[in-house]
Order: sequence, then structure tokens, then C-alpha cells
Amino acid sequence: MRRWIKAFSIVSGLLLAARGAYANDPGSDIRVKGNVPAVCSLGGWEKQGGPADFQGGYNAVATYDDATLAALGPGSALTFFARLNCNTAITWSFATTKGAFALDNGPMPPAGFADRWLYDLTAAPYTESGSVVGFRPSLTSDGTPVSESFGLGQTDAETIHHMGIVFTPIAQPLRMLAGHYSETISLTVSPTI
Amino acid sequence: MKRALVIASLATLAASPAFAASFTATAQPLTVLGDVPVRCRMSPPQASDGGANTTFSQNGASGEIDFTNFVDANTGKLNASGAHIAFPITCTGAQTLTVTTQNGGLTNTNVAGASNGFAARADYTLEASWASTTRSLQTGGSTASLDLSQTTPQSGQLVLNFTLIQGDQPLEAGSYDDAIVVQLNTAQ
Repeated sequence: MRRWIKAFSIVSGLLLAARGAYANDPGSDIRVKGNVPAVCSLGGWEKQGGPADFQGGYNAVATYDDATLAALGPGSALTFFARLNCNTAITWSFATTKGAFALDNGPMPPAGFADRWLYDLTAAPYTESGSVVGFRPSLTSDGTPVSESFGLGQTDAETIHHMGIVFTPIAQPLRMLAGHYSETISLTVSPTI
Repeated sequence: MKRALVIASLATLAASPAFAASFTATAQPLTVLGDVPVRCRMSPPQASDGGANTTFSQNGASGEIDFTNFVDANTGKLNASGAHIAFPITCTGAQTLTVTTQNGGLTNTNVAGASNGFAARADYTLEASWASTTRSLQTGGSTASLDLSQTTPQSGQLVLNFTLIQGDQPLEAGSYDDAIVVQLNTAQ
């Protein structure tokens, strides 16, 4: 028994000695660092619904055909979305090029004719289940370009599954001038950190 | 220290695929396009005010001008007569519009030509107005046309003013007719 206690003491002493040697070595301190950049991943445009031919992607084009243009109105609404994945707070904005679905080049419309369709536009971030994150701004175009910007905190941004846009033409009672009509809506997403 | 560096590099590589299209700010355009073709529509003709000694009847997309008192019963010479006919037209772009007299005058369908001091053709003036453009012709026995084409969209009425020319010669007996053809096409 006495011999056993002695042996135990020897072992304990070794342990203590080992700890002391480790703590006193300044060159063995290891620090691990990492940096996660503030980034977002925005997918290309996809069409969810509406009567237009569509070429999706990062520079998407939706084209109404002749028959649809002949009766363009609320029934011709187009819905698009682009998947979004952000790890930080963001600002997002949309901008319109003309403020109308308007004739590219042509004469001033004579009496009884028109050269543009106005439209309603809504744009918003959505969760995967389709709920709006933050709020959903909307505008009715008036023929002048528009740019509007909005912010979301990090927690809100992390819940965004996609950005959605609904483009709803307003029926034009006048006859439309012949020619090429266009409008471009640009969505911008910017991480804020 | 060396191990720590290795771990950090692996972490970066592992994170990259999840943000393959990552960015710090981007503008993503979405363009809506459409082409409205040039369309023209011409409605059936209708009589306008100011006619004299004529009646007008519409027949589908066409019409007919009939003289109620074509010649003086005593002299056989033409009575003053005229008609004003309107064609409602709308074109959303450039258009070609021509008005053509088929016979170049009201021609006697029963005899070959003038003889013995009698005329077999009744000439007339035709004035056509469309989109601030007015053209006119006087028939002379052969086909003639008026060009009223426009390079811009228009909506309104093509108005034809038809007036018989009172000549010195009496007319041979028979039926007289001509056709005035209005042709409208898109020009783009």
C-alpha cells in the first residue's frame, strides 16, 4: 500500500511537469482564421406564367406574339422569377428603361393612335413558400423611367428564395402604331457588408 | 501553422461551388418585346353629302352610282351630275392607296365608238382626298390612276368627288358604265 502511493505520486509529478513545459512554450500557439465574404448568388430569369415566348437567363427576353399584342391587357400579365441566395444584408432595386412598353422608333402618333402601353409592375423578394420578404413595391408606369431601391437586413436576406416580378400591361383603347415595341426592367441586388 | 493553412484553403474551395455565380452587385435585365404589324382596314363606301342627279347604293364592300337623269331628253347631252363617296380607312403604318378608272370614262356598252356627231363616252373628273393629300384626274378614254399613298399611319376617310363633264356632243343611246377601283395595301 505504501509502495502504491509512492508510485502514484511519481506519475502525478510527471503530469504536472508536462503541463508546465507546454504552457511556457510561446512558439506553439496556433490561431485559425477564416473570412466568409458577403456574397449573393442570383440565378437567371425564369418565366412562371404569361402568354409570351421566353428566352431565359441572365439577359432574358420575353416576346409577345402578334395575336397577343392585338388584345394586350391585364390578361397578358407575365410573371418571372430569379433564384437568389445571399448570406448577408442586401439592397435590391429595379429600374425601367422607358417607363412604358413603347415603340422603339416611329412617328408621333396621329389622333386616334398610340405608341405605347403603360403597365403595372410589382417586384419583391419571396421565401421558398411564396411569402413576400419585407414588402412588395408596385408601380403603375407613366411613360418615364423609374428606379427604386429597397433594403433588407441580413436575417431577412437569408430567407429569400427568389426575386419575383409581375409585368401587367394596361389595355390601350387606341389603335397601336405598327412597329417594334420594347421595355427593359433591370433587377439589381447588392450585398451591403 | 502549416496545418492551419491547409485547413483554411480547403474551406475556401468547399465554399466556392455554392456561390458559383456570386457577385457583389449585379444588374440583371429582363426585356419585353413585341412587334405590331402594319394593318389597314377599309370599310364599305358610303354616300357623302353634295351629290347631284345621282343615287348611291352599297353592295357589300362595293357600291354603285346610278344617274337619275343622265342626259337631257331633248338634246341628248349630259346633265350636270356628280357624287361624293367616302371610304372609311385606317392604317397603323405606311400604306399604298390608289384610285383607278377602269375604262377612262363612262363607256357605251352597246356601241363600239362615236359616230355621226354622237359621243359614245361620257368623261368625268375624279378628285380623291386622303390624309391631307388631294389628287384629281380627268378621264380621256384610257385607264388612269391617282396615287394617294402615305408613309405614316392614318385614319379617316378617302373621299371621291365624281363630276360629269358636260360636253357639246349628244350621246348615243345605250348603257354607259365605268368602274372606279380603290386599292389599299400595307407598305411595310
